[in-house]
Amino acid sequence: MEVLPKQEQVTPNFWKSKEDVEAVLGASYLRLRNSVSTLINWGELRAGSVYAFSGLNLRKLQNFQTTPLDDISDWATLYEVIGMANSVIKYAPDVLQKDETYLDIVMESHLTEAYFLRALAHFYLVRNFKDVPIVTEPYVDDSAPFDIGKSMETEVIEQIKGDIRTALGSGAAKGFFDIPDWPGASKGRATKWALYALMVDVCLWSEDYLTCTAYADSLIHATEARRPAFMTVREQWFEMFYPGNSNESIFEINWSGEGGLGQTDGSPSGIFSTAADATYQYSQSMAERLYAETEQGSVRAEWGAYVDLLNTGRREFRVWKYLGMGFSDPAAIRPFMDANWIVYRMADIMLMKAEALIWQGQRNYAEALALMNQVRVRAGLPELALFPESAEEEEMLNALFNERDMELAAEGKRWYDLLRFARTANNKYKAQVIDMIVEENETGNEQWIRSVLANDYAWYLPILEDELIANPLLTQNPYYGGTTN
Amino acid sequence: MKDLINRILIVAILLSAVTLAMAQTPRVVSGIVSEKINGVRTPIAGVNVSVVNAQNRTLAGTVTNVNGHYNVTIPGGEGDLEIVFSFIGMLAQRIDYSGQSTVNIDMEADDTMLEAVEISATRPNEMGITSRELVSAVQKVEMDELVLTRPVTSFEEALQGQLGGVDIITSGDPGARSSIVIRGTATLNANADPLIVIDGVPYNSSSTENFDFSTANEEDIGTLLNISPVDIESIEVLKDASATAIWGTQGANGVLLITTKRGQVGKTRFSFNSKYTRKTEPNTIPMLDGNEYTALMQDAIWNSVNYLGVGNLNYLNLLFDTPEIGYDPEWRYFDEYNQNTDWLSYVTQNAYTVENNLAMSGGGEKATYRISGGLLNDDGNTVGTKLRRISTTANINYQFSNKLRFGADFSYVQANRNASWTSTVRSEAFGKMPNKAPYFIDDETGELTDQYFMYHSPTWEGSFRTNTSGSNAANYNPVAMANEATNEEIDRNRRLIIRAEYNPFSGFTYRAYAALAMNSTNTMRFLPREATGVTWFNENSNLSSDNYSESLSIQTENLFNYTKSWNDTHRIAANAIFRTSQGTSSYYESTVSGLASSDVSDPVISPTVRYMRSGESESRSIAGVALVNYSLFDRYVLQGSINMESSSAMGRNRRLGYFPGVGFAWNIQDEPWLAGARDTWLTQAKLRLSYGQSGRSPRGSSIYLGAFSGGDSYMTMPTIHPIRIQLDNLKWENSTEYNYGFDFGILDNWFRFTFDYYVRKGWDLLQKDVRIPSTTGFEELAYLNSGEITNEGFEFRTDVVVFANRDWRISGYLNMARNENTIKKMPINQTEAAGVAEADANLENGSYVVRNIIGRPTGAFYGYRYLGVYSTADDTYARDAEGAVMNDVDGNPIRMRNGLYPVFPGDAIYEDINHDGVINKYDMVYLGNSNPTLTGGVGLNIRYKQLSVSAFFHGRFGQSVVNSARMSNEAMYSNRNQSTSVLRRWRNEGDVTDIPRALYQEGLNYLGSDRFVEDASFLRLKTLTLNFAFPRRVCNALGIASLGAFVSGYNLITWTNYSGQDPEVSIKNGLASDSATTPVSRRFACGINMNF
Repeated sequence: MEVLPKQEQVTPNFWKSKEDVEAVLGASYLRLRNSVSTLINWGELRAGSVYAFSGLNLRKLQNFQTTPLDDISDWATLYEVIGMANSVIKYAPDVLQKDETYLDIVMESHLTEAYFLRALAHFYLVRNFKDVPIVTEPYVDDSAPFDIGKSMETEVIEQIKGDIRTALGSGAAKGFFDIPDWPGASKGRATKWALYALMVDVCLWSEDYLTCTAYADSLIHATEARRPAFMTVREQWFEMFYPGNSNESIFEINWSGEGGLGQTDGSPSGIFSTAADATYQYSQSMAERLYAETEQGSVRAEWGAYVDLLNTGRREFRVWKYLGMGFSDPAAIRPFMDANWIVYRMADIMLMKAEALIWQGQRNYAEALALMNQVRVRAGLPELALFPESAEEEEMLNALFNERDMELAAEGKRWYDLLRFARTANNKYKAQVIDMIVEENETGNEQWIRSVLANDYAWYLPILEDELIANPLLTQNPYYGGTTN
Repeated sequence: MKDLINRILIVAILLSAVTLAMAQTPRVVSGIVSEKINGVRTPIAGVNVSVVNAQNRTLAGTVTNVNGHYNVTIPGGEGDLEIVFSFIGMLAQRIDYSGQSTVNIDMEADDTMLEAVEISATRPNEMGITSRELVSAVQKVEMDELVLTRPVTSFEEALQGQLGGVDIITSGDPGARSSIVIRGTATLNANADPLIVIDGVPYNSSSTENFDFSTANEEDIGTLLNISPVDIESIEVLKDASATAIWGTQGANGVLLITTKRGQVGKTRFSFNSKYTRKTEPNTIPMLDGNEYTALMQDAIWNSVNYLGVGNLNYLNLLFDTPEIGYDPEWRYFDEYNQNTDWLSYVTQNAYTVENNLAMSGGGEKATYRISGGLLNDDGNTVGTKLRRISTTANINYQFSNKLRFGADFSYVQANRNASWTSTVRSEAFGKMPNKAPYFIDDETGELTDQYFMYHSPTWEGSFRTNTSGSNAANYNPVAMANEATNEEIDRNRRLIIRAEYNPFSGFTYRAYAALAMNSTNTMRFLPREATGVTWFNENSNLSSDNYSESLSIQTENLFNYTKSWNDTHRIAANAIFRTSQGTSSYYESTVSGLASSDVSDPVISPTVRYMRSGESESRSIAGVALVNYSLFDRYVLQGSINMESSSAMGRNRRLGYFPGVGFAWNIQDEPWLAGARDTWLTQAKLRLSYGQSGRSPRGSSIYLGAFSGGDSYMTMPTIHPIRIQLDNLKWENSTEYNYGFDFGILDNWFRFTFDYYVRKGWDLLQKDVRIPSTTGFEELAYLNSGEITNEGFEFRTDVVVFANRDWRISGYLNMARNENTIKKMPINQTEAAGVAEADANLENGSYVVRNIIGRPTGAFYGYRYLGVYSTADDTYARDAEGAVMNDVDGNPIRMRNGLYPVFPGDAIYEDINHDGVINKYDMVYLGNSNPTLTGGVGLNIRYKQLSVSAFFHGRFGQSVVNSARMSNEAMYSNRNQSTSVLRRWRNEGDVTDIPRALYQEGLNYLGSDRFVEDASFLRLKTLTLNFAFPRRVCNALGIASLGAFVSGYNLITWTNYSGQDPEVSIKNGLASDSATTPVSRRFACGINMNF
């Protein structure tokens, strides 16, 4: 009675060899790569430094008008990442029994990657939707119910931390991947460094500053030969983007680099453009800040973060990081090799550590300032004119978030920075952040944005209406309840 | 048919024959067979004379010569002989042989003229159950009556309206599939076609696995059954679940049991049928001529200019810079765009159908055979469509001994079907601008040349576009498309069935068959550049595709039957059936474009491959059925059955389905207390009750299996991702049916009445592509069991012989069926809220929303209520529930809005249900559903001596149809030509009319509203036939057995209020929408039927 199709590999015949495990793990990475355009939208548009020049749904997002009917808040791809990671976690031990060539240590290493992917995807979800379903079992057949309710943000964070700890605890997380055909493999796949970096980010988000700085130090003070290391040379700054997989990188999503520029699906090189009608552009306010850095001789401003090919006299800047070829020939457009998407790099870690230090109080301002200045000096900028003994917390934070804005421009971080800034310490700086958002926003109505952001839940995305219909256990995020039109 | 009855009589009489003494030596009997015509004895030629023994085995036989004389040798060694005289149209005569040397006999005409439809015969069926013992609703039609003298070419056309509860919608194109729905739609996503069984073997009609019938055009699907209807003896329909039980889950939608004609013992007979049919197009909708068209377009664009304000230059430029609709003699194509072209007349034609069938049958003591061949040439009313069918059958039955019999059937049918390349040819012709010429115009003479005019102005008419199947092709020259583009399908169908039957001892029968069916379909399509006018580099330039698909199915059945009776009190018929079936299919398709010339259409020669596809699939199923029928005193019948079935399409855990059935019948007329009535007037009074369950599996094989598929690589990692969730718990879609029936007949069945009431409840409905939470990592499930639907209805049929004597006979019949379909429980993936969201997205012209809502039938559709046209500016103000004009905060009256568009005089009025001044989704109302409430047929036969007239009417009532053709002919929104009814459109302030103003590409003047919903109830004089059977004298003189000649008409008169071309509209995607496909033609046929 069992008739197996010839075009497809069916579930009962899968999970037989280590290649099966690795292929599904690869698919999980691939799904993460597919979600990059979503991550750019979610990470940038609402903050306003980078805004959408066109696209109805993109503009609704940046104007805080997204409704549950707009598929811009579709989270499906991230749950696909999770689903495949879950499959690896569940079935790799079975494969171990069947495939004699599958070594225990190799399996454990695969598991650490799967835990990383699962944790990272959950982390993106929790930052964008707050309370979300935690999925830790793969769905392979119809035996388990498909409906699942939301977990509290704190539970999700605990789950993420637990995954990272499990992965690190096995000791199988690799320091590097030695794959001759792909020199950047150590950056394109999850290493223990990537796990550390994720933990830094998660702890900062959950205001667990001691753990945050501890893990940051594991990266900053690492001594292994093949570790990610902060690149101190100003001229090397652009190497992070071209050719990519730089020394500084901790984890970045790799594209094939074959074909012409923007040819492979979803690469930042294809998403960002220098055209007059480019979808993603820097806001006027951001452009002014970037221009000011250029005046100061920063490497990360003109021909770094941005380009002004239009020369209209106005600050109409386009994102350049993913399109150029670097310091020696700043105006050259990369002919091929689509840019990677950097998820974590050392400067990010250093600034996150600095932030954690600042939140912990004045006694740490000096150390924080030193970290910030390290990043600034590398860019070719003077040190900050702040004095740790006398600086206010708000001053320090403003400087820090500005530093992150400049250093990590268009790297999909800005919205989470602002959200963190606003919500940390019981919304201590919420009003200031709203001012910043309003200041930055190019397309929305000020009163509207102010009134919307007064509601804490409006800072998060709605769950798609289709999702709610398909899953009765889900409830709409509070701000969006009943606003189905 | 009469032979069949004769055979039955022979069996019946023989079984009760009294044993007689017999002669021992071979002798010869001779004599003359004659018939008394007007008191004069006239010899008959061709009468079968057979000598049979007590087992009814034919020992010798002959046929009378022209003088009615015969000689037959009586074989020795056997006693208990009879001589049987039989002839078509005559009562068989049986004479006990007691040593006579001369037997002269007068035959008598068979006056018990048989009706086209009758309750199935009295002989036990394959299960050993007689009609008296049947517990379920069964109806049977004899095909000769329906096919031989009527202008029909398929069995569906013949059956239309004949069988209560069998709703058939035929299609107008030759060889296109008809839709057959038995007792309403009971499933949403599983196969809804009835099972066709030919001579006991299920006929596998599903073309390719995974074929999505819900989205396919009927043109895409081949005919249900590729067999010449002339080869069919009779068709029986099994409707309720206890009847279909033995056919397993395949029969869940009802079963059509087809019995083909077989050979009979006797001299070789030939039968020849020839039919010649002329088909004409029903009246078309009158369209605007060239001048009216250009005037309308200018009006429409000018209105849009005003609508947006004169500042909007787009429409102004369009109005002044479009030479196609302006008068510009300097323009190079001025001549070609100043014509009066009736495009539809170029793509339609009067067509002819010729059908010839020849069959040879006969047999001797050991073997009988029938061989037939037929040729059908059926041209369609749309230019370029035709069907050519060659059908051959051969069947042989061989009696090895009284205990063992073998048989083999072979058939080969080849159908060559030419269809239009695109199904939109007619609608394109309807909408084509009438001032344009189909051909270039000779500058000198002003006459049309023979060169197709290929120019399409991109700004006005738009460039050619299409999907690969051609189902939405637009902007082409329909004349070139109909004449030059090809879509030829060659369907070859081979079937071989081998049968064996063994009776080791009395009462026990073992029957088995193995059936092999091979089907190959080759479709060749070519779209020449002449038709589309695209550039050489366009992907649709000289597009050619070849599609080859092949399927093979092997079926086996083993049946054990045991029948026994005790003291005429108890009778039992027990059956065990075991069936297997296996099917494989594969296809290959390639499509290329850019062929160098229209003369080269083979896809192998091309430079540009657009795509190639291939696939294969396999499915298997096994079923075991046990059925016991018990009757007490021959009056009370109890039947129980159980079907166990397992299919490769089902999930692992629920693969085996159990479907029980029980039934009870009471032959009331045989009760002792009714003896008086029975002897005088009561022929039959039978009560039937039955209950049964049935199941349906999803289409395709192994669809329940989870699957992985490869994707792009990530860095050096090859990737494989899961694409489907495994459905281990996929269940059979289940249905339960209760049937209550009553059969009643009086005065030797001069009046007969059959009534059935049924309730069928389907649950665990198979929902396809069900959206599931994306937290699972998947978007959807292939199938999910959810939802509940019921069909409830009744059927009745009555047959009356009004008057009969030797010369006259007037009889008639009427059948009617009503089915009501209701959704009882919502499938979990569909909520009413989702319907509303969908409606919101659909505030657009021309679309209706089909919603499944509890308490409503499937195919219920929603839209706006059309109230006419705003005559004056005053009318356009929004009014509240009391009818007072609504004002804004400044006290100014608010103008109504249709969606985002403010309305102006001349725009459509829709009822503002919630009185908010805006027409939007909240003003949507239920408009109707696509299910007919009543279907039926009425037949009338009048015979006077040799001449007979029969009329048959078919009717369907209460179906709400969206007249899409009228919608696009009255929308005045695009550059399509419109029907003449738009001449009464609103033009000036104060005009009171029902047709809104012309408004080019603006406004919402043809929202899906009740304006285009029509009641497509109709009653049709389907056939009217005049048949003349030549007198036997003439036949004898010609040396033939019988000869009939007929003339008949088809679709002669239709009584309907429906304004479209044809009220027979089938349901597509839940909506009965009339989009001007080829209407069923009006036909006249004449022909002869001859036996010799």
